Amino acid sequence: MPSTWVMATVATTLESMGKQSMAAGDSAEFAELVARYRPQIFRFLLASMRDVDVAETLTQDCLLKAYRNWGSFRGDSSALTWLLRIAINLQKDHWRNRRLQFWKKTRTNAVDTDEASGWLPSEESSPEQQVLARDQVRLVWKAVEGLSERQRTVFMLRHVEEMELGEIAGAIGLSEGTVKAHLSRAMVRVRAELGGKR
Amino acid sequence: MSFEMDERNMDEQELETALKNFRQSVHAWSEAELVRPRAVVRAGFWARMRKPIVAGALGCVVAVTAITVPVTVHQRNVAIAAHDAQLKEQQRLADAAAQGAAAVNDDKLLADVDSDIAQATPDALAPMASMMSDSTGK
Repeated sequence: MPSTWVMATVATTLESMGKQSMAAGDSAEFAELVARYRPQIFRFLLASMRDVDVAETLTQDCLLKAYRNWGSFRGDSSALTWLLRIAINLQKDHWRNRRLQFWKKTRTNAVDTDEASGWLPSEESSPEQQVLARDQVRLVWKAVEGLSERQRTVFMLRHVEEMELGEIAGAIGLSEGTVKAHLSRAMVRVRAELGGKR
Repeated sequence: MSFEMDERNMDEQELETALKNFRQSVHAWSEAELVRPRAVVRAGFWARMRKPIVAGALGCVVAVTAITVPVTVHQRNVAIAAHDAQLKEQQRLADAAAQGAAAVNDDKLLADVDSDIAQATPDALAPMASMMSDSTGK
């Protein structure tokens, strides 16, 4: 992701908000934060929602909310944990709204697990290994689909973002023990899905 | 015992591999989506119609049209019928008036003729007429 594009996005966001109150130093610091963590926020939301449009919208909302509250960020947790907490709350709101508006039959652009498992890194593996990897990815997606919202969030943060349990607990606002329990239940499901193919 | 441990280790290894593949897959997908150029597509007619506000407005327009058009047509028909009735009534009155006027004219004409006949005395009867007027004067 070219950093100039991110800077331009941030500048546009600031201009659209019509705020000149943020000091130039703070603005630059925030732009740097966006450049560094935007891909990670987007990736987490994409993995959680499996919907590119929703993930993009929520990422923008997350950054906008972070910008508005940037002054109140005390640095108790890492900036990434803080951003992820905002993203998780936005994701919750999105699901809640969707549940409330089920009667509207809103069209969803979420891709199915088969399509999502089609993405594989172009490594120097053989076609057989590629097929095997694709199958494994598909089964993990299938298991993830059956997880509760919280289990899925914990699973994604642990195994996609490779965060420590303490960081996950900080981002979700739960105790480390509860996070461990959610992760354990999620792993049981993943194991069962992977084991069931044999 | 050793066979079970080997099998368990193999399962764990396979799980690790699957999770690694999953992680790499998500990363690849996310990176591809981040650099993909976005095309701004103008929403088509049906896509716009899918919006609740537009659909609601369209429904209101249809409902109002469905009610007002028949009412307007009915009112127009009633007005035309009333107008026709009024014209007929006027025509009838005009005909009646014309007939009455014609009857009056006939009577007046006969009266005029009688009067003319009565007053137009031939020259030969003039002396008699004057006598009649003299005797009348007396």
